[in-house]
Amino acid sequence: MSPWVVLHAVFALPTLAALLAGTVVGIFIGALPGIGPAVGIGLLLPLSYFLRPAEALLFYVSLYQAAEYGGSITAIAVSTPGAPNSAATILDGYALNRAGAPGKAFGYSLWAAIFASYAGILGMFLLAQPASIVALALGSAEFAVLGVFALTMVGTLSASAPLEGLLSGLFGLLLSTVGTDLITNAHRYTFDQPGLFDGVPLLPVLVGVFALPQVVRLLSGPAPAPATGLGNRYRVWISRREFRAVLRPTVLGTVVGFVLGLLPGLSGSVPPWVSYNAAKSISRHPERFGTGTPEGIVAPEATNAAVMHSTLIPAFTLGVPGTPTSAVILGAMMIAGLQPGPLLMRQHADVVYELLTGLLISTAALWIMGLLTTQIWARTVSLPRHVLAASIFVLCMVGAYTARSNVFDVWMTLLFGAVGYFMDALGYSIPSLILGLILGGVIETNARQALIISHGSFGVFLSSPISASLLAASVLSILYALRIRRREQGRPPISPGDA
Amino acid sequence: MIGREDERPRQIARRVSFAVFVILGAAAWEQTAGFGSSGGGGSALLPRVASGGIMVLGLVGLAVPPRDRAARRWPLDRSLFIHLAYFAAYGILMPEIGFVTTTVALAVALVVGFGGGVRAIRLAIAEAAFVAVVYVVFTRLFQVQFPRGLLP
Repeated sequence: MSPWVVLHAVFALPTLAALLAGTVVGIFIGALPGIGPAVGIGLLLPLSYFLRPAEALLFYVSLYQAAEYGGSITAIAVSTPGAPNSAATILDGYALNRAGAPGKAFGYSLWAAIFASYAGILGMFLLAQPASIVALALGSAEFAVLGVFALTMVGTLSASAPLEGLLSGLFGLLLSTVGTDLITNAHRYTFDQPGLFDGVPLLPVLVGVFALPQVVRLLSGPAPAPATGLGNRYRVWISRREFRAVLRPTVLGTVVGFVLGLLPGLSGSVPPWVSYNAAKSISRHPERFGTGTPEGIVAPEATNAAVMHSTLIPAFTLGVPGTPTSAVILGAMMIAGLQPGPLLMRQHADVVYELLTGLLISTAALWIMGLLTTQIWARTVSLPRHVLAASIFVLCMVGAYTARSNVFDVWMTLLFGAVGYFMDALGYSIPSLILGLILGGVIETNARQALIISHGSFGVFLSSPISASLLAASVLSILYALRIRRREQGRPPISPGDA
Repeated sequence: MIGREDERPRQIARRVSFAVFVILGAAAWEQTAGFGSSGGGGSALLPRVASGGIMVLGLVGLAVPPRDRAARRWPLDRSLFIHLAYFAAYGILMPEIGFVTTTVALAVALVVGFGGGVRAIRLAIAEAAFVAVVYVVFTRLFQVQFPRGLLP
């Protein structure tokens, strides 16, 4: 496809407006404590119905990218991560802020995010096509097993308790089977509710499990700490010499993030800690980590930005998301009429290249907005939490209704809000639930196709080395989950200090 | 600080959650009998795998009691059930009274009820203005018609 066509589409006013809006909203959402990109995108999913697919995708991915930086603003300003993966930034970011250099702390975070974002976009450009060619070479049996593998990996590795993670994934799988079966026309778990004939509606589930529990938490939890250490005037900036001094940990963080982001289950809150420790181990002054050293800011921030980009590669080409936010973005793609998976590059290469080119612009927009507006966003953390909760609630309900103009969806949102709250509070994994719901269709369609081709022989799932090894890895991860549970059982009771 | 005394209700809640999963899995498995078996493993294939897995893992969870390390520290107390009651009441009343009125009422109630003081009134007005902006954007720009009850 011609690059000029892509450039023409990207520089069209609605596309530019979408990516700029995504960037502004993303920084704001990221800067609000506890409201991560998954919740933000979940709240704004109804916009998919009113935007062109490429515009919708650019809006959400720009939002995701900007929210990753926004999360560091809260971490540096008030020592509260905007999202769990910003936790590693607190150690040195907040310390540098307290040492009287908030502008430098934000500057290091911003530069690392911009560097890693451009590297990540380059990686996406280079890998999107080869990954899609590999995906096209896979057969139905391999795809079905790949879905199972992703689900078990995310279930066992992303959840704080592997057994609960697996249970959440299976619950998501079960939910994905609700509706009319397209092959046999059988009604499965529909309970004669017309609202369920097409399956469990994705948007109300996403909004319900991600956003509504946040409303309850905001109403019940403690008020966020006021921003301290931030002077009235400071400049978000680092010099070229300062940037050169942290180039090594920035590159390290980028590479670690990009590689781990490709692996389902390992792209949650783990990568920034991996790169933080790796940066510490290669540093000439490891003793300075935790006291406000710039290396401790750039490594996890570069990782977060790189993970965000690389996790979209398996999400787009295989339909396997590695983070909760990429799972929500897959949901947004489906709502916008794009089917993630091996055929995406063949059928909608224009959309993918428009996205990647648009991301180059939205990264520049993030850089400019980060330099000019970080001071403003740093103060949004003091928004009254009950006002925030009420506003999120309004957006949840309006969003849930707008999707299909159906009151049933509002009820579903409320129901899944309660389900999501209890599951999360009891240690179950919401990302696994969503992944199960999204991957259920892929797993079932491909498994049944493979079984039809093999005349009902389950040996088809072991016939190729790829599917056999993925299946073995899935079984091993389940055994690992059970082993962890046994080991937990052997541990002494938890002391109050553990909490 | 969360001591062992405070962990007990949460431990019980987690055990109850495993029991709920076992019951859910069993009920879902029982339903699969009517799904048919033609077409590549049949309509019942994935529901059986999922419900069977839920039952097995739920039983493992019940047999090997969980430690509280995994659970988050979000409230599981009376205040939570009060909030859930608001939302349930909203779900019931909304079709009768009207989407916009009920949503505004609950949003303002949350702001006033949890804010307190003179500032709460100002914040409630700001919240009502926010709802009005959302309403105008969705009805005018996106042509969404929100359901009416006795009121808009």
